[in-house]
Amino acid sequence: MTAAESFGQYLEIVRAHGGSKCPKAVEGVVREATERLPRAIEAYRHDPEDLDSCRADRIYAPDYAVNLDGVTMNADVAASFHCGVPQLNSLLCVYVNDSVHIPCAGKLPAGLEIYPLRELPEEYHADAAALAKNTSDSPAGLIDTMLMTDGFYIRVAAGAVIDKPLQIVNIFNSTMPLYTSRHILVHALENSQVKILLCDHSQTPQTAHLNAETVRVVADNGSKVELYDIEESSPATSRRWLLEATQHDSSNLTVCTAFLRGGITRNEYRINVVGDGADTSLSGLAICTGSQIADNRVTLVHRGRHCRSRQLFKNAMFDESTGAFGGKIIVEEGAEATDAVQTNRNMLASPSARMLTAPQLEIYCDDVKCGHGATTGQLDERALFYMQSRGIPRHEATMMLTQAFMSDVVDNISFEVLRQRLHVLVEKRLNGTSGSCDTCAAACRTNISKEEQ
Amino acid sequence: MSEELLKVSNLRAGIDGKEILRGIDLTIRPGEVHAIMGPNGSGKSTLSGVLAGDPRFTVTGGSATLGGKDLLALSPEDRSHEGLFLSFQYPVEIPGVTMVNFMRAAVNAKRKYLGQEPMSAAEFLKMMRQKRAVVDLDNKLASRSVNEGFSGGEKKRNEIFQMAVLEPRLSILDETDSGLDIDALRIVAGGVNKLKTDNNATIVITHYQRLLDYIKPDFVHILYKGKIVYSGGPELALELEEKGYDWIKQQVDGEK
Ligand SMILES: Nc1ncnc2c1ncn2[C@@H]1O[C@H](COP(=O)(O)OP(=O)(O)OP(=O)(O)O)[C@@H](O)[C@H]1O
Ligand SMILES: [Mg+2]
Repeated sequence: MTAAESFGQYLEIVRAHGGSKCPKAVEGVVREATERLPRAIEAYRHDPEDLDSCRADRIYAPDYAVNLDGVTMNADVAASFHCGVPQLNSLLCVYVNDSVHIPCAGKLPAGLEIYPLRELPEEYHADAAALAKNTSDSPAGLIDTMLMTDGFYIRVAAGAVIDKPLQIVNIFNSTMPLYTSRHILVHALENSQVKILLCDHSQTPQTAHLNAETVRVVADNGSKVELYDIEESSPATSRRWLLEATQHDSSNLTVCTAFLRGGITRNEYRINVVGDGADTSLSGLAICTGSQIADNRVTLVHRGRHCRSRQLFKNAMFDESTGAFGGKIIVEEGAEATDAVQTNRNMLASPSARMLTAPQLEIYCDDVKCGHGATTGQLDERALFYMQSRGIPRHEATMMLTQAFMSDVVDNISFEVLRQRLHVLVEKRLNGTSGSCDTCAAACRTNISKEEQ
Repeated sequence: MSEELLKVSNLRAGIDGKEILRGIDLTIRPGEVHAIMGPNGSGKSTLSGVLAGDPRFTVTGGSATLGGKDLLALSPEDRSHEGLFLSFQYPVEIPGVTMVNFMRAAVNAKRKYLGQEPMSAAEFLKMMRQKRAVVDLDNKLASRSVNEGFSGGEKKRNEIFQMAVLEPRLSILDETDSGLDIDALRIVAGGVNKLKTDNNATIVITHYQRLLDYIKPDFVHILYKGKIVYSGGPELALELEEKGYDWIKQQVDGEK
């Protein structure tokens, strides 16, 4: 079955079911997306979106079940899990498949509110609906919205500075192929600050999983939002991750994604800088082996004046893996004194690995400084031989060079505990010592009750 | 002193189909210092590279053994573990890999090869300190990336520091003197002498007698057009310093 056929099927399933059980706050959003879906599918049939169709076909090939009634799954799993970045001491939330769990609910610091969309107080319904609104014409994205049975609503009050990182652990646990539609809505009000860490894990690594996660962020004036994402799932996972963010005056958005393990990953970043004096930093690293695919797509639109953006994406490709980077910077008319730089560097460690890059600049304003560069190279054979001549085995030398290659992405992370941890995770990934939940370097399985003491 | 540490017989090697080494014979016993001299482009670095396992070169004939083991059959890392060390004429810069991590990986890889446990952090740091002293290497370099931004002299010192750490049986020093100032030359040569024992041996590749004033060779060989065309004692180096290579070239080229 092609992706387009699968899209049609999901629509049919939902129609036959009389709609999915969506939270009241986003009813309008879900209805609207569902209504627009048939035309989007039709358009896709004629002109498959830029994500090349065979890859979409591969993502949608398994016969995934969908959880239309939003049945809560495996609460006990949520209770027994903690993704322990040591000393992280985070505020823990858990997504078990597409069920929302908020173990940290009772101990949230002042200024931070987190709700499952289903239990969202009335007063926030309008805000959640505005955040959740899906304006894209991507049939895959519209289906994600159509299947929204719950989600996180995270609100950081004006002026609140939340030191403790908020961590959302995405756990997959299912014996049958499953499509999980996950939604995280974040509203950082004026001058607030928050750090969010997302981690993906699979407890059933053999089962096909479509992990569709949408993160929508609104960063109000002067706010600072840091978003980190570590994917350490299984080769049977296909992930479509979307970050859609709107930045207002003097806001600061930092995003770093790390693809350590998975099957196919497509991360999309749509950043709208509407305010003046905002700062945006997007970075990502991907280490791909086997037939993994890691695809990062950025669309960064500068509308405000005096804004600065930096992008740094790096891929290290082994075996028959494929990487892609598509980065588009659009500087709108009036976005004076924009300073935007985009960098994509890739290392092909195998002759069968592939990397596709498409950096793009569209500038409609004169007074700007924009730069972009994409390079793809091989492992440095001279360095490898030098290391080997000192007795370092070739595979270890390769690992060290790859780690060195990635180090600037990790070093960019200002959140120190995570930076150190990610260095270790990258090293372990390259050593091949993680891979299943049992051996995963993130060392979960620390009982939450222990954490609470 | 009869056992052979390195035995190279009729070794031929080249690059991209071009023959560079055209039948090298060389025997080195423990405790000996051999100097190899010769005009630019004669194949001295190629010989070092071939012995160390540089993948750019293809061996087309002959043999080389280290302590009786077939050197040419070993990976570069195993040649190192078996006690071969090459001080590069042009040490390689490795951005992002710190000297400390690089050396720790090297030391522990060798220990693993020898069936030993990895070194403890304290032990390792202590050893690094001791070995740095051998060539008076600035300890600030330890936290920097391997050779990155090192001055020419610092790179050469760093090579001998690595040699001190790895305690090879056979060291090949490819123009270790180039780039060193007068004081550094004395310190580095002194370091090499400190590492000398009756059980190890050194090949010193150089263009100048100056280095051989410090590191006294037992034998001097002249490599020309991929062959050792002349061998002698230490006095040969003095003769070359005085007369240059013309007489050798004439002799060899005239023979044809
Ligand atoms: N990577 C290479 N590609 C092509 N030719 C090479 C390569 N390396 C060495 N050669 C050639 O092989 C020959 C021997 O070079 P080699 O570096 O061994 O000389 P050398 O004796 O060390 O010279 P020098 O005294 O200048 O260091 C030269 O003609 C050189 O150009
Ligand atoms: Mg040379």
